[in-house]
Amino acid sequence: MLAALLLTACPGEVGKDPAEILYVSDVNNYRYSGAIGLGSQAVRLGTDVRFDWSGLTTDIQGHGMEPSEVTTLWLIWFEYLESDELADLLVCNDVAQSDANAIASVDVTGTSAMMSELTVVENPFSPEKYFVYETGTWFTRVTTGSANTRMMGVLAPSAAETNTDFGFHGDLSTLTVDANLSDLTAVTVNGNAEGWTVDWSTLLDGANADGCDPTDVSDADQFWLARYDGKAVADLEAAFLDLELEADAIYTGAGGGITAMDLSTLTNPDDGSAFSGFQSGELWLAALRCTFCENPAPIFLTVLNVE
Amino acid sequence: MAFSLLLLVLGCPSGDSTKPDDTAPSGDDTGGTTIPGQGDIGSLTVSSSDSMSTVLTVEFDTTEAATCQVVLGPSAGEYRYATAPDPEPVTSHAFLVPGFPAGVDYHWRVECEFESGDQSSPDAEYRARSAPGGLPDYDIEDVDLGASAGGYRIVPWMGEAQGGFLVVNAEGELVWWHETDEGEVALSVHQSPDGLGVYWNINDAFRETDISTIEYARWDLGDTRSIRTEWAHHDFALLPDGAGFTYIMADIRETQGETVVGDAIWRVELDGSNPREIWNGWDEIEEPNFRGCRPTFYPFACDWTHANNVYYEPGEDAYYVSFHEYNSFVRLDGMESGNTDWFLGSIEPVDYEPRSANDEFVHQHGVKPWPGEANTYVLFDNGSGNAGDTSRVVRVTHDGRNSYEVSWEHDFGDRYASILLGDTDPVGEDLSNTLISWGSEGIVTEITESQETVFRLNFGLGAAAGFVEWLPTMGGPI
Repeated sequence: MLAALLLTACPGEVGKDPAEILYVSDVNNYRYSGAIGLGSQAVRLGTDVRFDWSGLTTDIQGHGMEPSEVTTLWLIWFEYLESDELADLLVCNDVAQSDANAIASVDVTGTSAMMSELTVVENPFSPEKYFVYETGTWFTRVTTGSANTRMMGVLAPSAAETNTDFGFHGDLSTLTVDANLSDLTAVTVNGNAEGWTVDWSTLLDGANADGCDPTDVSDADQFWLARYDGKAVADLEAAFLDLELEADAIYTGAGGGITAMDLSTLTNPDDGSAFSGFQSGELWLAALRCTFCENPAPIFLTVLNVE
Repeated sequence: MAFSLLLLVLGCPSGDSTKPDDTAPSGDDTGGTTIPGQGDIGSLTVSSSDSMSTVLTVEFDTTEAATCQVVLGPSAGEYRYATAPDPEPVTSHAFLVPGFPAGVDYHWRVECEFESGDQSSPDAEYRARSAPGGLPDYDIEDVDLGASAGGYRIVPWMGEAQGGFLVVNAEGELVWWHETDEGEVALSVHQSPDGLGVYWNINDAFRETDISTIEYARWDLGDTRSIRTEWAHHDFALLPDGAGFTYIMADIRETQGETVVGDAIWRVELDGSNPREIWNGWDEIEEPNFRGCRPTFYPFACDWTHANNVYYEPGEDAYYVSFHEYNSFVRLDGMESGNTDWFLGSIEPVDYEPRSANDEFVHQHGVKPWPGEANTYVLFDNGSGNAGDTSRVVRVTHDGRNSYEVSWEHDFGDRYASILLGDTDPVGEDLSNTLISWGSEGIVTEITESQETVFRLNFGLGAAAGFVEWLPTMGGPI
């Protein structure tokens, strides 16, 4: 069995070149600058605010969604952060647990929930007792699962305010990403190789986000590969937040705890089909993603040009 | 099989690509490798754990009996960490060597003490695989290796509905990790006395059902066990000399027309046999008025005493148990007898009310004797959770009755108030430093006696810190 595998993996088959290792490092990585604009709504201080996401049909990345996709409502009080400071930390995935004074959440099934339904470590969150501070930032978000943020915003509590509703909608907050894929060193791929392995063992912690501290490469938990037919790199830069929607094929694999990926092990997340190889002339993107990070921008992303 | 395939692919000619020069051997490359010894230290057989590549097994012989250990560090000659040594001189040696940082090139060697003098094997290099994704994000700052206790720190973490623990070295590099299943938390973790593995408790994250166990894993995951501990919660003590465990148990009773959770202290053998009660709060603390109480913490019952830590002090043969809802702790005399010696702190039940002038500590955690100072105890004073009442670490000196004074305090700043968890441990060779878990603030610090911070770990949003433990060494002779 071992000998058979060895023969299969090594060069010598008619019409195929040897298997190829694609070493990628920092020169191959994209750069980007991101910004989050946190929208706020005034609500009455100390009251049981009603959160409503029935009108949330576009998420913060501009993608269409159903309000019923929301599974969790969150309310977090950052006593010592102003809204713009928090937005900068969110962009850089740099919010610390100690920045938050209280983290309240509730799993939901409908399209609205009352503040009093929230719990802090399973203890009831009492609006009359806790939602009594006008200082700092009362941050709220709705997620699918525990980490996939669909929309976020800020409550601006005031004793003088009469409104007691907070509505999530597609324009509440904005996420913008200005990505540069043109200045990276693209990776040339031999489309006639027997197989391909991407090796990022020399990739340093990601310093590719303007204004942010380096991102820990080990945060990556997914390897992501996508093909784009009839598109140029400039098209992908312009549609950066839609890279998943624009792709003609996507293959993924678990990317945590490793520094190399044998591309033959990747599968299409929709139908489970395996990655079957590159063809000459194709344009692909390869990325390392952190699926649990606040900012969905990949930790590493590069362009693969197939010859 | 997947890894074997990868090796085979890597072993083939690599086409036009150029392999970088600085790649080091990765996690599984050393399976059964033999590397040269030196002097009276024979050749070393080295293998790595496929399940946890930060752990090596090293076997070798010495020509004469010697006491050996394995040391490791970031560069040749800079070996900052070590396994426990052989307990006595022998000629055949085998060591389990955890402590290699994930994804980092690291150096190690064997050091032996012969009757004729000290000898070491040549420096060797190893790089464990990177850590898996999904572990809580953290950063490290304020590291002062010269002033810190060195060694390793076990740092449990608790998210919204899941937990686990990390083991980091004194520089904050990740060397071991465990993530619980969804709906479970692990707040208390102890290295086994032989240094070869780790025990941790498992509880229901939502306190709805009894799933409590104490788990064991050898560092290389070559041996795992599970011990059932009914309704155990929060904390357990690993008793010396293989005497088993002592743990806090939720004792649920119907009283005054209400369902109420009190606390008992139970003991069980290492293999899970002979579980027995050694102390019960229902017998020792006067019941307050429960009528009309509302469920808190436990969704099905009123929470009464809320014990949150149990610590066994071998030198005194005594336990210390802290009660969150009483702003007090108790000393229990005797590992098996568990007789109430005294309570210290408020003897009235409390709620999250402003700290009164008489409350030197509130909702405290991590109570234990402070070494070298008689009748003095260190604890994490959570504070009331009200604005301005922040958390701190205090040492209180007890006069033998229900009177005490604060003899030392450490305030981390006016913004840090942990509403849950927290811990303190004396650490370092002379136990003069203090390792602190700031609980729900998601921060772990180590401070010197003069309160200089020499280690700080900050969790990213979503992870509180559990009960921390310092390990001067990891691993040892098998």
